[in-house]
Amino acid sequence: MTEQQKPEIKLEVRKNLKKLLPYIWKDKYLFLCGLVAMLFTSCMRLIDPLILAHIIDYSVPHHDVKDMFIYAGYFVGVIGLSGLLSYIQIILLSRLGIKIITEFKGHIFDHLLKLPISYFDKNAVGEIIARVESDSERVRMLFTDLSVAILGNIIFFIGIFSVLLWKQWKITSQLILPLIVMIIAYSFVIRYLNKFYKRSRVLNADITAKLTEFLQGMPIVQLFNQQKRVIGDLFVSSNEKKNVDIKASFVEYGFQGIFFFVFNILFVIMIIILTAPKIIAHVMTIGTLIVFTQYIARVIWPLMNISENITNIQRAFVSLQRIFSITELSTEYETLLGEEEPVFDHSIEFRNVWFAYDDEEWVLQDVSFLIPKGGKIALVGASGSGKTTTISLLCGFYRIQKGEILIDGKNLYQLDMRKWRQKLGLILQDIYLFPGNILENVRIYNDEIDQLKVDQSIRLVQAQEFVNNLPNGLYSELSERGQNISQGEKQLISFARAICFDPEVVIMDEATASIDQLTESRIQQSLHQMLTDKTAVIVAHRLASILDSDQILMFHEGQIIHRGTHNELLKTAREYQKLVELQFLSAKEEACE
Amino acid sequence: MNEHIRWISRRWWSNRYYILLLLVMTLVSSAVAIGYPFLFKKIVDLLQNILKNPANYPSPMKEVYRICWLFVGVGIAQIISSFYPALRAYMNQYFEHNLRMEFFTYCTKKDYKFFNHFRTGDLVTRLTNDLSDFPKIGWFLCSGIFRALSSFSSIFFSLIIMFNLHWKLTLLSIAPLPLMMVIFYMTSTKLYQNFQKNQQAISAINSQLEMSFSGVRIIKSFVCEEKYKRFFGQALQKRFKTEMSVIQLNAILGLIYQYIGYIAQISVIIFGGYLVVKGEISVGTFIVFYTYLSMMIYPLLDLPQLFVSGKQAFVCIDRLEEIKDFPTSFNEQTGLHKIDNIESIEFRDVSFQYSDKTNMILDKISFRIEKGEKVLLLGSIGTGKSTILGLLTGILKPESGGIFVNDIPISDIDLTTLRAKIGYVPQEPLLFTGSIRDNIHFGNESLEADWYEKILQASQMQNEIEQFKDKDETLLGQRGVSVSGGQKQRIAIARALSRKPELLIFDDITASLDADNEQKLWMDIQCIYPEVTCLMVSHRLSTLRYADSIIFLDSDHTLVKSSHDDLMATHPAYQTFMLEHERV
Repeated sequence: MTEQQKPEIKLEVRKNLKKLLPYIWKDKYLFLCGLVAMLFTSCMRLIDPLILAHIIDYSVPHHDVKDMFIYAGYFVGVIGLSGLLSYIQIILLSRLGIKIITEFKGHIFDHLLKLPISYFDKNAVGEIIARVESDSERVRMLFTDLSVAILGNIIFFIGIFSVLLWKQWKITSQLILPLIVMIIAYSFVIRYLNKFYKRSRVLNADITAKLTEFLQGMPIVQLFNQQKRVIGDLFVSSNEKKNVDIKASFVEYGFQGIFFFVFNILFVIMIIILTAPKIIAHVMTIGTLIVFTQYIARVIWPLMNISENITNIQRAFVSLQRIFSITELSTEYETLLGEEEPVFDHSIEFRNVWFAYDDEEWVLQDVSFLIPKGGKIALVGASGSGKTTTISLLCGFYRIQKGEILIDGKNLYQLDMRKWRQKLGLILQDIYLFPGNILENVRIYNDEIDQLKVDQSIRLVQAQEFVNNLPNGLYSELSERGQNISQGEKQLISFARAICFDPEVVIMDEATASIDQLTESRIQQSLHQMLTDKTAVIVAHRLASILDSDQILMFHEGQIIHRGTHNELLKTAREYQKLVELQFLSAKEEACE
Repeated sequence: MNEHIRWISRRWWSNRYYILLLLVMTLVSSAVAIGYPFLFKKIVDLLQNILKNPANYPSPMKEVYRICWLFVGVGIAQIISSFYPALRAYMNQYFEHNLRMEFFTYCTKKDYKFFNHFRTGDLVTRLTNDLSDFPKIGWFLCSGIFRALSSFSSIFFSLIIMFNLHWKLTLLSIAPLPLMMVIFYMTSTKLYQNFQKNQQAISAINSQLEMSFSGVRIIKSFVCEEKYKRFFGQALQKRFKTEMSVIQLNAILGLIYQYIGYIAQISVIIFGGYLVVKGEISVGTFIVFYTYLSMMIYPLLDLPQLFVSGKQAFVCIDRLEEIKDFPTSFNEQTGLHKIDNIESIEFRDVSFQYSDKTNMILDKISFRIEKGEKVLLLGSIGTGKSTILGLLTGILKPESGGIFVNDIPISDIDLTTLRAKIGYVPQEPLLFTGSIRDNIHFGNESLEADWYEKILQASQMQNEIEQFKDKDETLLGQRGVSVSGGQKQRIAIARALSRKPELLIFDDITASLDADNEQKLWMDIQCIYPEVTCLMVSHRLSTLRYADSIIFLDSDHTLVKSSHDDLMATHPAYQTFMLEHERV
């Protein structure tokens, strides 16, 4: 089983920042207050070594206890204030972060729903979700942790160097160059590490997708005794991720060790060697030495974290870009630009339609037919001959390459597709259930459809009995993939769904074939009544459901090879005869005897 | 909490030598961290003395250089101990990977009740986020605990030195610390609850997202993309609230940390400052106390972290163990008797009830199928047809009564061997990501080439595959979307056939198999597996012509097995059933 390859993403920081800005701007006061709190907090951190130095240089030599207590008092004040400010800073910025990603997610999910069907053909649902979830968490960190870590610390550093330069500019200037070298070296290491992190993320999404698939299909895996194989498959991805993460750690911490050595040891030795002579010569005080070492000591962790946090920022921006790239995909609003009001009073026509999903593998070849309003058309033929594709095209899910689809003479793609779809009621072969209860499943969260209407629809499809048997009736929650109701009952829900949207055209893809005869006959009756004023396009395998149709289109390998009423086709088309013969009921013959 | 500790100990024991190495490294790295400020004290005291009594130090810089060399020595030790975090990270990853594989393996042994209870998204979260993110299991098992150990040892070493220097000042400085522990412990319980809520919210949302996007075609065709926002809004709001409350609590905790840490420093400044002004302690000692106390803040804050992240990790451990502990009927069911062929299948007075339904779906039913028989299973919705198939393959376990294969009770049979002889085609053809070829071989990895051809022919896929650009290497996306429903179904049929089964089970495949293909399928099956027993659930009565006998399930939960003619003559419910179909 192969992995899906993703194209490498080029990081476009500026572009992403620009997109991020509007979200921040929405809560600008929150943002500004957080920043101000951060500014003050950073300044506070500079003060305590200075207080310490004063005590050593002044209070101690002068044996001035009172002076020492005064400065101790200042120390207490500074600390009290800084704690309070940092609390405010955290709350404000975190709130901002969470608000932003909640909005992000909302937009992304909305946008995802609007993407053309071809996107979902190519991308696994599990992967999409993993991507959105972990990416938005990383973006959130931008606000909660990273902004503090970077901005706060930058302000801190500027403060430190200002003070140091003011006290001993000669010595400070000698420190700046090595410091810059260290920072640059570290940034190279980070860039190198990035490759590992990217790979790890890809593998993580891979693992999530595999787990999703295997867990959903576990009954099949068990039935086919393929547990070992499936475990082995997962092992490959999980193991590789482990190795990638370990390598990254060794590189990262190894370099950190060197970093520590340089700051804790080399820099300090440098400072001592440079300052000792001056102290001995009474040109400099011990207090100043203390300030230097205290500041350098405080610089290490934030500096290391800056490098680490730059990585995290990069990761956050990669995530941001991945998120935005989803919102940049063209939605159907952009690909289906038709604006004309769809009018369906006369007919739907396929005129010389050619369609292929990929390249030129034609699934439909020169297909033409006419569906008059109120007509009942049945599509029959071998599976894969183009019937389901025809239905997808009717719903406007794909664009045809050649030919035209005309609604009352107007090209389908010139029409407002959403308004056209509102005229349709789709019932698919694979029954999709949504999170939530039966009510929401039937009306798909469309609160313009009230409970009464849903009740009516359930009644129409003869499902009220099973709904009433459930503990909460319409409000019963459905488990994932609807495993707490049977296949047949799921069908009925998808029926009720189609009915309650009051379509003009009912499109059914073999939906009725999985229901048993008894229930189906009941449905057929009520449908027959309901379909009286409606147009119906039914893909069916069963003789029973097409006997009612006005015209039958027989598909074969992407072409319509026969068309006509049931009786006409029986007389003229050999393939159709064969089809009917196979479905002819010997039971019917016997019952007549 | 005890079981959690035992759980962790068990995991560690399987890697005891590495853990020992980590322990040693912990101590080394703490010692190094403590040594350096002590050396600095020496420098300050030296400088102080040089200033006071310059006469005692003819070559002062020589003394300074001497201490600098000591610094270098400490530095080298530091480089070595810097690999300590990398070693911890190694263990983290190791645990994450191993736990994932172990608990996924447990999942492969669970039955339908398990998958009904846990949504896929939730399970996936437990096997991914819960393991890898900070501060969850993978991190906690190694880094989480060792960082605490490291903190503890550095605090311990610094206290030793501090006590040696001036015990009174030491006591005064560390007095506020126990208070912190107490306050912290009180708030950590609340954090635990919030965290658990948050985890559940995350899992729930992921599951629901999957469901939503799987049904995108439906949402689009009913033009409900905008309306669906309502659902997303609900789910996201819930998540926002829980996350905000966790953050608030964390922030308050952070505040408590800071203040209490600083109180210790204030103690040094006030008391130590007093002492140094009075001349009782040296400036160097004053500085070293200040430094050690500043250094202690971080490890001290880290220590309670152990409890916080511990709680969080325990939640995740619980969630993992929940997977393992969830009862499955499979464990008890695997007997020792191996099956080579299927001569007969018999149900004797079998009853079954789904755990979430109120009535028995099968009530003391009995029937027998002999080798080579082709049986059609008929009945209205919800009469238990799929249930019978589940019972037969051992996926479900009966409440009462017995199921016998070759006159051996199914509980005595090694289910793996039984399933190896069964080719099952489900109602909904679930395929996996991979090529068509891979999916067919899912049934039998060592399928010979000529059999592969035969099976492609029989399942009516031969021609179809020729039309694909990549032939049978065509990749199927999740849920096999790029092929039609009928093609998916036929690939599933090929998959079942590839096992060279003794028993073929078709759970309503005729939904996506037209009459023509159905006929060809039966003919080809007769060719390659002439003696295979077949059990089919179908709603298309045309399948009757391929069946030797019918099992009819009535809506009052009774079961009869006979030939079609016999049933028509003697069974009124069956007649009604047929007539209903007639009317259509």
